[in-house]
Amino acid sequence: MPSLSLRNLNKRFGKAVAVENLDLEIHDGEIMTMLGPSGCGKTTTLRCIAGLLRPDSGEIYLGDKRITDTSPEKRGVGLVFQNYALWPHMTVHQNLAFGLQLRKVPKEKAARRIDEALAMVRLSGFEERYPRQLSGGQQQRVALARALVIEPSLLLLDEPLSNLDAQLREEMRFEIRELQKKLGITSVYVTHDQAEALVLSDRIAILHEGRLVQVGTPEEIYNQPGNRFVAGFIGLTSFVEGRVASVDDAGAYATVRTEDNLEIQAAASGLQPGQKVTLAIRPEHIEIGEQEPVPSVAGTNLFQGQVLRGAYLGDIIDYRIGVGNWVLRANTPTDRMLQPGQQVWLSFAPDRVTWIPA
Amino acid sequence: MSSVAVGEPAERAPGRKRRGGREVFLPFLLLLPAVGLMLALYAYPFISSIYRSFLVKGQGALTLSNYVKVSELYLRDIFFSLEIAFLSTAVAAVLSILMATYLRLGSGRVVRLIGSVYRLPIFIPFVVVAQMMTTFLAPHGLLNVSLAQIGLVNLDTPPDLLNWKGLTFAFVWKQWAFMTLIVLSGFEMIDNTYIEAARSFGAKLHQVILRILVPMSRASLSVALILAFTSTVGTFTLPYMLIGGKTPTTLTVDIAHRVTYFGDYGVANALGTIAYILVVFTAVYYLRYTVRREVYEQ
Amino acid sequence: MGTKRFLTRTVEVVALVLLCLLIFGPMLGLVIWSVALRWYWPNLLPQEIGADYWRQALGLEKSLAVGAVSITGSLQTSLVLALLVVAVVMLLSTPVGYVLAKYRIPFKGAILLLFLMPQAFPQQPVFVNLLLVFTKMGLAGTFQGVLLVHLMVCLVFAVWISTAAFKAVPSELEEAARSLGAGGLRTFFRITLPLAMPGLLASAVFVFLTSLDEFTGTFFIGLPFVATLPMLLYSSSGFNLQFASVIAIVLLIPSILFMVIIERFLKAEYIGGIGV
Repeated sequence: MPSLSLRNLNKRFGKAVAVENLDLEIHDGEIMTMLGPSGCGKTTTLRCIAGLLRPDSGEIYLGDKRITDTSPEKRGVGLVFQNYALWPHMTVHQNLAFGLQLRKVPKEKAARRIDEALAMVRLSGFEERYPRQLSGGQQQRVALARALVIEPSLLLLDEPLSNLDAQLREEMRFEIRELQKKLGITSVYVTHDQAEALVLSDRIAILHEGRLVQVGTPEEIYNQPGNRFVAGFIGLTSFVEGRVASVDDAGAYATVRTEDNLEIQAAASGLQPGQKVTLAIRPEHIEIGEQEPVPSVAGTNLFQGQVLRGAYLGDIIDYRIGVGNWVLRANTPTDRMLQPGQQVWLSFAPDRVTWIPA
Repeated sequence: MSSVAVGEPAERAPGRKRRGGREVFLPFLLLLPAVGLMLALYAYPFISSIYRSFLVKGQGALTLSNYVKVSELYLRDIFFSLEIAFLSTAVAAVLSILMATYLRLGSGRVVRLIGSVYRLPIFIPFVVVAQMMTTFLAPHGLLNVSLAQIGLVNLDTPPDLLNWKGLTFAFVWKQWAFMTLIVLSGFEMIDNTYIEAARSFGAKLHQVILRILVPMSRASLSVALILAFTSTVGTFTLPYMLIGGKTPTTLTVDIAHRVTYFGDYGVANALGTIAYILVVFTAVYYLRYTVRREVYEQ
Repeated sequence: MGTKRFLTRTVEVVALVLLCLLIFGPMLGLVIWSVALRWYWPNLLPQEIGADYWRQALGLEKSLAVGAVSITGSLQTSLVLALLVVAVVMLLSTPVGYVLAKYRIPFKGAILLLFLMPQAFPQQPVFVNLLLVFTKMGLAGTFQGVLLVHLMVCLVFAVWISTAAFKAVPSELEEAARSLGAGGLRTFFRITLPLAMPGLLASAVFVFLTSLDEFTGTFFIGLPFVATLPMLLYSSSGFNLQFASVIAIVLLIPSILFMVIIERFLKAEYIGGIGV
């Protein structure tokens, strides 16, 4: 399987910039997710890769073949759409056979490949059904099989799960990932759902307003967000802004002082005294204590705060807690209810505090 | 309607799905004038046109003699009407599919401009079309004279176009735009992704048309075909003014001649009934399709 | 790649030019004929042009030389007829459209059928038999007779367009008014009717055009005594091309004017029936 390389891609619609100077390498056999809010340029990029849009400038290489101007039908790309785009006037079999007929695959061989593809998505025996006779999940799997049956060198998926209900969506994430790994097909997956991206990607590319913001493995993206947008987009995060007051002798930890004189210890990794930074703290890393906590670990951040409000989410309660001028989000299990106005103690380890250049 | 106001539960939908008393009476009252007019001015003469096709002046009993006369005199014209209808509907259908495809898949200023200009013939009444075509297609009309300029036509022996050729041309000219409008409305209901999916699998333009666009908009395409066919069979104005009493001519011209020259309503009605029969399949399909759609939509 | 694109472009341009010639060619012929005083083949354009026929037709000049009569009388007949038809048809079709859109009533299929039949079957035999009836009633060849035929022809379109217009008014808006205490009549006049108005106006325009252009029904019922513009066009088309062209253009102008106004509101299938 070839790798895919996007080089300095640009696309505008009228005056609106959809994609700007995008450089991205998708390795052989990798599944790369393009993640971002709607309008970030991820779908535009995907359509450029598929050949449905022509980029204004920049190049697209599949392996070492330049495909920037190649028409879509000659790219050998498998496409899965958000609305599945199963042709309603064709049966499942006819839908799968379409691409094979155009490739002049002999009938018997085509039938065998269709059988295999349907078995792969666990839909053997559904050949003669029409799309409207299938559930949403089944339609999605047919769409996947239709894209794969032509043995494409590249698989593109455009928000394929967003029309499914929550439970099915979660199952399908694993299914798509397993299938992709089994076939080892280079894949690009577009989504706005961060959970989906974290589960099924080898790497994630975060796009924002047409620009590539960060590329990395799910762990990297989650734990070391490159900027405030990424941190805010992936998972829940509270932000605190301040200036580095001091860095310890080993250069391991820094003390960051906010304007209202809170002092927060953070993992330093390259911070310089005097530098302005934004600190990102995830709710799951904050401990809430109702009394003054027992002797804390040295260096642990410990603040008194006031519960502003809580939201019952079923598995946890999500609280907003005022600390100085800042609002931090923190969770408790549902058997621990806190009252609005209640004084609490928050503690979190400096290693769990990441910083983003302000 | 005002009877609903006092003391009735508000969650009841206004004037919907209600039976009994004034609520059924009222809608029928509202329908009465229009329905009465249609019964008197359409349904009655429609039925009487079939009934009278079996009557001969001065004879009481029902007879087939009008049809015998039709088969003796007008068989050629019946086929001529059918030929014209099939030919012009087919040509117009192909052109309209091409045009609708162009308008559906194209983009840009030229496409938008053409998208509004092509509709012009739809709004031009048949009587004007007929006048236009008589001058345009006349032996020394604009078409032949223009073609003579580039040496395609010899004006001393100009091709005669005021026959099936001109009639077909005129019908295509008029129906094609209207069919494009209907076909295009069908094409526009097809989401882009269906077309993109086909293209990504390697479909070329003609394969996209024949395997995706056309089969996915069968309903609008058949409506377009039916309405064009019916209207071509039934149109009187255009053939009457364009080719008139030449042989062969259309059924509709024969009906008019039978009435105005001979006052022979029996044969005219037999011809009319045959015109009904020519379109009966398409008409039934259209009526069922539309009634079902209207009733389901509720 | 470059040459291929160039070729496709060329083919596209050629096709478009041909298309424009075929669409506008016949119309151009009308315009030229309406001002042609002398035009003999093999000339592409007339040897002598002038507005003589226009002035004559519009009643600005009376000259025997061009052998034409005035269209003003027919124009007046056509306009009065069309306006009357619009008034009556709108009065009749609006309640029908409302009922068909908003009520679930028995025999609905049959009623729909009655209003669909004229679209699905040729109408000429119906006119022929109306002529029989009207002759007995003394309505043949009268303005009233023609008015009745036009009513029938136009009612069909008006009913379908106004049904669509009322259907487009969401029931929730009416229900909201009812829940706030508005009675049925008030709801209709304050909520439903104003929201359906654009569609109803389109319907009125469409009826006006249909009546103005109606040929077949008028031909059987009205001739030779009621001369609407299409009838005048027909009777002059055989012997006076210039005059016929002038009338054709006069009939074209409102159609093209209104095309812009009504096309947004209309379903394609109704437009197809214009001027039959």
